[in-house]
Amino acid sequence: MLQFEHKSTWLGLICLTGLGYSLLASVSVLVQIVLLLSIAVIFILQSLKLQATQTHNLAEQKSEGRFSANVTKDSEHCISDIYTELEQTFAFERDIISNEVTRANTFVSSAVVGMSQSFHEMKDISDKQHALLNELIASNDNRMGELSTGEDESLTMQEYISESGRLLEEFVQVVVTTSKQSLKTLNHIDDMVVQVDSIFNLLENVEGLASRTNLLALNASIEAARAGEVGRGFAVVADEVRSLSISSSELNEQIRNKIDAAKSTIDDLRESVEHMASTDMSNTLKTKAKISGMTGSVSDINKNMRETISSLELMSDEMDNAMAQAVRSLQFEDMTTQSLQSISINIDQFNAISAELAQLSHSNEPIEVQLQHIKDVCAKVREKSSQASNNRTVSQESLDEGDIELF
Amino acid sequence: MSIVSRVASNNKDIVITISERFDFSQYKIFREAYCDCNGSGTDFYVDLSKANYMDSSALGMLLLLKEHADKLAGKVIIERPNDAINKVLEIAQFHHLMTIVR
Repeated sequence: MLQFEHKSTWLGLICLTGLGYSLLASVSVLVQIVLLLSIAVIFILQSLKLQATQTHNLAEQKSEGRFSANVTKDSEHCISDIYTELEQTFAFERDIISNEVTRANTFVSSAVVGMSQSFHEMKDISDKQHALLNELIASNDNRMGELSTGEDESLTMQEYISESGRLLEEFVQVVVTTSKQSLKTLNHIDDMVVQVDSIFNLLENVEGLASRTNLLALNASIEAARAGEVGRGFAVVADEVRSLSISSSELNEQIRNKIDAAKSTIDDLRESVEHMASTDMSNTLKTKAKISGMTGSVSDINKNMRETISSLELMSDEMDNAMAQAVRSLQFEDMTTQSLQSISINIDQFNAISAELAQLSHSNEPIEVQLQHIKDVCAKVREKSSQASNNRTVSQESLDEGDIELF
Repeated sequence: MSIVSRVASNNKDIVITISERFDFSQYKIFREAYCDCNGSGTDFYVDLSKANYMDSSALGMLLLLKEHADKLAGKVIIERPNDAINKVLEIAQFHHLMTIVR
């Protein structure tokens, strides 16, 4: 965006510089023309004065009766020379002025073409800038707007943040529920441990029973030995009972080992449940704080964005206005062309004088008549010029008048 | 001990005071502090003014205490949690579940 603006500003500067140069060029040409014209006029006046003096002298000589054919002939020859000289000077100056006018015309036209091209480009750029801005505004409004259409699957920044916040809350709920359920499980485990411990107590009773049975069997075999031959069968039974009690003791031991193993498994279980139940909440809290901060900064960014966009919009309007003003100013081409055209007309007036002079240089009429001719032609030329000048003042109005489209 | 429980002056309610860390290591003592109190309408006051840390298992313990209190038609009142702990309680939305007195 900014780049565009810089570009436009540079283009504008270049155009204005061009405008300045061409104005300068046309002004200098005009100054030159004016100078040349004044030189020409002075020249004419001086020649006329010279002629008048000579005529006066001639008249004096005539009236005094000292008129000589030789002198008249010399004067006539001299005047004819002056006519030719004047005519040539006029032609020379006229050509130079004409050339300069044409040059000025070309300069102005090419400068105007270049400037109008630049303004076209500037307008294009400004239009693009406008379009981009509008796009940006539209997308911005869409993104930041409260209402987002259901068809649009993509999340806006604000939605994303609030969604994250919601998910975080859900996560916390899950963590808390997990902790609660784990602790409940732990309660059940504790109850089970109590049961297992009571099994140990029962096993001890069974152990006692076995050792008492062992003792009884021992007593029975002693009694059987004392009975001798009669007790032999009983001794066998007593031995069997004793070995049963030993087996029962062994079985007891096995059960005790198994239950011990189960108890250590329960300890492992308790440990994993502890891991499940314990989650450090400090990271969650930090994340929550970050999300709250993000919500704040996003709305700040939105605000800044809106402000920047609206000021950019204003600037682009201002630029359009400035450009319209510049385009209006390009009317100077018309004015300058008109001025140059009038100058051409004025130059043509010299032709009339020139033609008269050319004719007079071969004329045999008396000097007075010749001078009268010149006077008449000058008066005619002046009248024509003042008419043309009046027309010009009517046609050339202020630059501000009227609105001109880009050409 | 970092958990002390006593019967309140009204001879009915229970006051459980927790110091320093309120985490899984306190689980057994915490449970013992309330599980034998079965009087109908018993309110449980959890004083957290001396506690400086709380993790999710503490939240779980409070929820189990709440369940227990609900069974007795009693209430759970959390008293004077510090800022950090109060934030944990807030993020878990405990203020919807029980009374928190700052």
